[in-house]
Amino acid sequence: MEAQPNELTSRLAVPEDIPALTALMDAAIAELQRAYLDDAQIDSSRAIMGIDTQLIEDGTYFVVESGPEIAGCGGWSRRATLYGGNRTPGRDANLLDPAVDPARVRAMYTHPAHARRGVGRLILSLCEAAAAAEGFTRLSLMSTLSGEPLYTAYGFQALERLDDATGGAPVPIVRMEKSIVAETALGASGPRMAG
Amino acid sequence: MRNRLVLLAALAATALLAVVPTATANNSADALAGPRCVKAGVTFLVQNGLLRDAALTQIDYDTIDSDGGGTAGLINTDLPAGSYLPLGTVIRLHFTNPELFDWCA
Repeated sequence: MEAQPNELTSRLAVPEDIPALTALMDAAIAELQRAYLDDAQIDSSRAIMGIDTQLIEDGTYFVVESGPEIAGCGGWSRRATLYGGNRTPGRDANLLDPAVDPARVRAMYTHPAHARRGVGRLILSLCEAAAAAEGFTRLSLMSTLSGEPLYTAYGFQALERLDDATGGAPVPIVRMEKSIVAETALGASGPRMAG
Repeated sequence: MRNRLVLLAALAATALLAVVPTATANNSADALAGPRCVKAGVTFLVQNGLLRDAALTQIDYDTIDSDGGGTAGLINTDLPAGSYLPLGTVIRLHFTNPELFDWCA
């Protein structure tokens, strides 16, 4: 089906996307968190956010485009790392067991110019479908405060509230989970980030 | 407003379907039946260029159902017109009610 101009389209990310995705993430981190974090916390959050090339290598990272522009990105993972970029400490590349572990939703970012247009919800739906097809029955993620409303609207529930001070100033984050097979809430979408 | 009402009606219908116990859904011996069913559904969407539309809740599933509730459609039930279901709802039904989907047979 042909997409109309400025309609959202999706594809898997490739290594050649990394420079553009890095720029998009920087813009999203700097602008979309301003309502929730101060400057020190935004700087600090760069240590626990950013691109995770493992997701691209695994073929589980989506790019959403609006016309010629990248509007957002995000993915899912069958690996244990819950959040963070390539440089974040504590990464764990071990494979999850779909029978007992939730798949991870990872590294969700929307370009500020494409905020609140359904980019995040599109990525979440693609992630849910892909993870379910591999046998996962739950999704988990670590959300920023700015991302929490989107994930809540999509059916995620907050399980734990933490502060991550890896980058200096403590950054509030929320561990959330959603069942794929049980009833979940419905609601509006919006452009947000997840680790 | 009308679209919202239609969607709510569709969701109510599918929610009812979701709580109907089925032999397949309760067969713990075949834990992979749900994922296989989902995979077949996703494959159908991809092959027909519909995955993006499904993820954006832009597919009226009434257009591929069996109308009479038999097995003549890709979805074997009679959905109301304007059944623009969220992809998450459709995925959930693949686990709970695989008999609804032709590709899960």
